[in-house]
Amino acid sequence: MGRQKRSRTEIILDVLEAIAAEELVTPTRLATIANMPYDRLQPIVEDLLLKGIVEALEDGRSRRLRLTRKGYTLLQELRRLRRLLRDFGLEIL
Amino acid sequence: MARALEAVVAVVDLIGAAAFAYITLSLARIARSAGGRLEAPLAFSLLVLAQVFAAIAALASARVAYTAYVATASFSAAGFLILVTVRGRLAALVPAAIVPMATDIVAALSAAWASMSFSGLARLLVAGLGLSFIVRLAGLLLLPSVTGVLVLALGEILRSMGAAVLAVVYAMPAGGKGVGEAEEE
Repeated sequence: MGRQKRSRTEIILDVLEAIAAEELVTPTRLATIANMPYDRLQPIVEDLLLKGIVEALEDGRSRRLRLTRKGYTLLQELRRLRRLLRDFGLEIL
Repeated sequence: MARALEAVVAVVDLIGAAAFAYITLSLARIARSAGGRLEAPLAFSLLVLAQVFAAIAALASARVAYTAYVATASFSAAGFLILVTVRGRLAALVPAAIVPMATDIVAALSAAWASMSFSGLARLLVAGLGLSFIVRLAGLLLLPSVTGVLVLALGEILRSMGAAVLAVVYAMPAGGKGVGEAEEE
């Protein structure tokens, strides 16, 4: 039996977890950890950057991502409500 | 003893309200910090209202209690429907789900069903009574506009007139005698 398709909220939670675990992560590495293709991850990351949940640090040619304070707060909220969001199938974001 | 039990029920209802309020606030915080959708916290806030009305129903006088009792189920139904339809574009179906639940529709369908077994003028009049509930619902959906009030009034007039005609034709004394008496002649 294959893994159930993740909702957008779950994907965002996985992305935030991955960034929090690495503290500072490149988008390519993030795609690997979050287990999703880079082209699908990119619009999600752009959205999170736009909303101030994630910030990008430019270092020459490379770009690294990290959670903002708002991002950590959101991650904590999502962790607490993970089961409720999954069981109710809620799409908050 | 009964008052004490009512107070206990009200407190239990309010504990439920607080629990739903906590979930509502948590979901609202997530939605706000991520600039997201508010349907989920809205749905849970309706469940909070339902619990508050349940508490009122336990404590209030009979008439207010009945209103609060009905409001409890109505707010809960609205909350659950929003939770069901929060995914994708299903939200557009919420009115389609609510309308069949409206008591006006149930009354109209019951009247239509009943009229099928009647004949003559009775069939027409009972169908008219049923129609009055459809008009009433239409008026309710148009509120709070003046048109809504007028349509609502039209529905009430239609039903009252139907009742009056039913009474005049079938129950009022014809030529000074009641229906039963007239048949005996």
